This record gives sequence, C-alpha cells and structure tokens, in this order.
Amino acid sequence: MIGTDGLCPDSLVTRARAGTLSSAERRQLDAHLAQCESCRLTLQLGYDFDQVLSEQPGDELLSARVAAAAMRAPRSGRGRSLAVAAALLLLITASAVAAGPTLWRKWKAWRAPSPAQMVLADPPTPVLAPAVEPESVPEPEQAVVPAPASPVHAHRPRPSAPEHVAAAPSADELFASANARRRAGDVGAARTLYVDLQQKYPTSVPATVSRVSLGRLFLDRLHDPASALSQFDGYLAQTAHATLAEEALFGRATALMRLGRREEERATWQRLMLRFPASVYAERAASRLGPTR
Amino acid sequence: MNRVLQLLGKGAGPRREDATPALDRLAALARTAAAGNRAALRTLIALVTPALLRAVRGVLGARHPDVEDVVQEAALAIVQALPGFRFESTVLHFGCRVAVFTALAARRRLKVRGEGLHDELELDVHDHDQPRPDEQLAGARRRMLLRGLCEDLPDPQAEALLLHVMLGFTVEEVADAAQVPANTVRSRLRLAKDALRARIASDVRLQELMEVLA
Repeated sequence: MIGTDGLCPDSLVTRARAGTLSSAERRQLDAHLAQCESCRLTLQLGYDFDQVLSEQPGDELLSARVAAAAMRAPRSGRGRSLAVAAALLLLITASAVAAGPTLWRKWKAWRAPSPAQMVLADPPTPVLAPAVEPESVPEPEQAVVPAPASPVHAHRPRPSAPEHVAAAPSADELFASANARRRAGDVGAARTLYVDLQQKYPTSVPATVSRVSLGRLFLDRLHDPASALSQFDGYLAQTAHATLAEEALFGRATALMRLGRREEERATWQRLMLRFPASVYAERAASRLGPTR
Repeated sequence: MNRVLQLLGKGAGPRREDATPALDRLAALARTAAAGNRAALRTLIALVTPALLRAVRGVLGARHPDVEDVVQEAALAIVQALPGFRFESTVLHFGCRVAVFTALAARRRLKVRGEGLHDELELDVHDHDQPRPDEQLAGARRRMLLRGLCEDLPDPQAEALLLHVMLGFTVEEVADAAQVPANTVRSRLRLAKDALRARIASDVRLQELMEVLA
C-alpha cells in the first residue's frame, strides 16, 4: 500500500471531489486508488463530507449576520470571544441574562445533563415535567405543533389551574425559550413561542425584538414571505427600539422581493441605503436596485 | 479564542517577502482591512463567512445549534488575528484554518460539558441525488468517527486531517496554511489516517454497514 507520501497524487484526489478531472487524470487516479488504501479513504471521506456541507437555505442571511456581528463586537482584548453576537443575538443574550441564573440553570438542565445525571443508569425526568397536554394549548395554531420536550412547554400554565398561572414564563423567558427552540431547529415550537410572547407581552422589548426573529423564521424556514413582512413591518412601525432596523429593512425588502412587489421592494432598499449607507447589505441592495430602477 | 490564536501562531517561521500565493483575490482586501479600514474588514468577513460556515459545520455537524455562534467566534478570531497574518497562505485558507481550530475547540468544550454533538442528525441533510439510505448512514458514521478522532488527536494532526480530508485542501495548501513543510503535513496525515483506519476497523456498527453495502 502506498501511504500519504510524495507518491500520492493528492491534488487529483482533491480535484476528483470538485469534479474537474480530465478523463486521462481520472484513469490515472483510478489506477492509483486501486493500490492505495489511504487515498481511497481520503476520497471516500471527502465525498462523505461533501454530502452535508453544501450551502443551506438561509446561509446568505446568516453570513450577513456574522459579518455585522464581527463589526459590532469589541476588536481587541482577552476573553472577548464570547462577545460575538449580531445585534439580535446580543439582545437574545441580554434577555437570557436578564432572566437571571434561574433561567440559565433551567436551560442548562434541559440541554445537557449534569455530571451527576450522566452517571445515573436511569436518568431522571427533565426538571420541568409534566409536559403540557394538547387541550391546554391556548392558540389554535399551537394545537397543530407537536409539543417539544422542552422546559418551556412544561412551564406553560394550564388555564384551568390558577395556581400555575403565577408561574407563567416572563417575556424574557419566553423569548429565550423561543430562541433556543429556533436554534435547535424546532421551527414550529419557536414560532408558537414567539407568537405567544407577542400576544402576552405585546409592548415588551423581547416581543418587539421577536418580530425580527419571527420574521426571519417565516422568511427563511417557513417560506411565508407575507407573514414575514407583517413581522418586519411590526418592528419598523415602533420607535422605542431601533437596534435591529437594518436587519428588519433587509428582511422587509427580501420578503417583498419574494412577493413580487417590486416598487415597494425598491423603496425599501432605498430606505435601507439611505439610513445605513455602510450596510453589510449594501451590495445586495445595489444589485436589486439595478434591475428595478 | 486565545488558544486558537496561539495555535495560529505555531509553526510560523520568518516572514517571506512577497509570499502571497498567486490568485488570492482577497489579499488586497485583507491588507486594506488589516490596515484599519472597517469597510474593507466588513466586506472581507462577509466574503469569507461561507467558507467558515462550511468548516464549522464540518467539525460540529451540519445542524448543530451552535454553528452560528462558533462561526461568529471564528469571524472575531480572524478580525483579531488579521494584523499578524503573514499572507503566506491565501486569505480564505487562513480563514478556514481559524474556523477549524475554533470549531475544534468548541467541540472539545461541548464534549467536556457532556453536550450533544448532533452528528446523527445529519442524515436528513443531503443532496437529493444521494443514492441509498444505507450509504448515507455509512457516510454519517464515518464523519462521526473522524470528528470524534479529531477530539483526541494532537492539534497538528487534527488540523491536517480536517483541512485535507474534510475541506479538500491539497497537501501544499495545508502546508501553506500551517506554515510547515509539505512533508511534515504528509507525515501528520499518515499518522492521523492510521489512527482513523484503526478507529474505523474497530467500529462494529460501521463494519456492519459496510457489509450491507458490499
């Protein structure tokens, strides 16, 4: 067997993954692979990773958020690595912190077992059981969402049990929980929780911020630009909180683009450029303004 | 992040003049950004983020809930490391290296804290032309083994394995990024692949899958 040494045509292996080999190079590589287990393994694993590392829906928006966060975060100093968040994520973190150590402990307890729990042969029931029953879910749309095994649902008060109403989650808790479900990929539960937050605490800062979060969810994950537009408009209509205006305008323009409302889309891009001339979305805005001008 | 920055500094030799690899279209932008131009920096980060995302997803798992946070951490590490970047590799390869180290550090943190790594969840993230579910399962298992191995390998071997096998860098590109000779990379890869083969050979579930596929 030839190992990973100078005899291995590793550039051919790399280019095979990219699909750029000529037929002669392909024959050369095949001849080598027939006798080199190392290169066979490399190529197989390369294909394994290529299967799952392609671009995913929403990556463009994610990239924009990352760039915006990198620019907003402190640029020097030690121990700042966790201060990495876009405005939205900064607010998410702030909300979680505001909810206090209790929320953090609940979240950690749900998300990962403690070392003590890990050594138990029969792990205990999650801290916040019992799970809510379908008939106790207040909104009709929540009834069609499978109840996730999350502390949030376990905490949701039952209307018929007044003693539980006092333990209803706060706006911060609802927001943090919704964000946690969103990040876990549980889109239905996240949407339900954001709606719950907006209905129960309509004037709270978390509810205001959640309009951008839910707008993104509708846009990127639920493919519902009309609902997304409503959320972004809700955020932009208020004046108490403007940190996420750039993201909300970007979301609004994207939603309008998907709805085919060209004039309104164009006006929104112009509004974005006027208000945020150095926006990370400027290139996108320029490209969209070109054909619609 | 400090650990990541330390790792980035390892292997750095004397600076070579005009050592920027040819065809690095991001080099001029990166130099402008490193000189303090924030607009250039913002553009640079936006341009390299898709590559960071790919690297972080590769190490953590495509649907890991911490992917975005770790990508942001990597982007910040790039911002901090950029002034010291010697342009001895392409900017994109430099960014990928930062992302791999950042994600590897995050993966090890998660392991220490006993948090899930979502490797198995990747099965539903695949191309629609992927032929057979059992092949997908075997692929997922191999990815999981490689990631798990990288938690235990020495950093230089893990880096070489991830950049070469996962991200498709050539040996020379890995050498440029790590600022070590190509033969050193080959040696690291040989050791890492030996360890990977041993792990694959001892994985009963994967062997069963391979029997099904054979």
